Amino acid sequence: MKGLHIGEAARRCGSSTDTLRYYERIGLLPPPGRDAGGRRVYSERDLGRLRFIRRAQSVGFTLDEIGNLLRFRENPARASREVRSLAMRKHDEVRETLTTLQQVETELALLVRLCPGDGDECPILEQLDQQT
Amino acid sequence: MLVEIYYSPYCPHCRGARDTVDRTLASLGLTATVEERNVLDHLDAAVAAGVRMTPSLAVNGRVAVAGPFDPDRVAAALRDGDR
Repeated sequence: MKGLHIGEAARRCGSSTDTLRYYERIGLLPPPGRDAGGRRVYSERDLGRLRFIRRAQSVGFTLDEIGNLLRFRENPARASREVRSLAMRKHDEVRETLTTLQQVETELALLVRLCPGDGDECPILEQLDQQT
Repeated sequence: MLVEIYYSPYCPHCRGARDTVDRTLASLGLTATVEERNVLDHLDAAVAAGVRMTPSLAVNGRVAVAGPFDPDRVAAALRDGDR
């Protein structure tokens, strides 16, 4: 057998078997292949789609948006104007999120380095706390 | 050229940072506006400049030296900033 059964596929993608069946039911995932016993078998391509769904969900995309982006992902050259526009808009949103995350990361990196010791007391951070 | 020294209180390597910058500017024959900024008072500006540790030297708004001010690295940053 080439591919993974539903339990292992779900585990690899940090999901549940119910979720995978749900994605299939609403059309986010195409029906996977079946083994001789009729059990679902997920290919590497299916797993790639699943990982994309999980990542997109984790950054706040709706399932409807994800469905459209998956169509774009499958065939960027043939995507409709609407789907291409959605992809560009989401790309802009992700870039803005990255910029914000970078600022937060820099600030936290700076703050944790202000008191390099492992003690509980940090006069610098206490001073900062008093300012806010 | 704008040169900003980001420091924090109780930071041992921050002491002498200003002297290193002043001496290096003088030895290179460069003039610059030098400002010392406590990161606790200028946290947003520090983050915008990319300051991740103290001391840090920002030249024209971007961090050019992070950590203890090695005179050679400070000189290279100031020469670059003056171009």
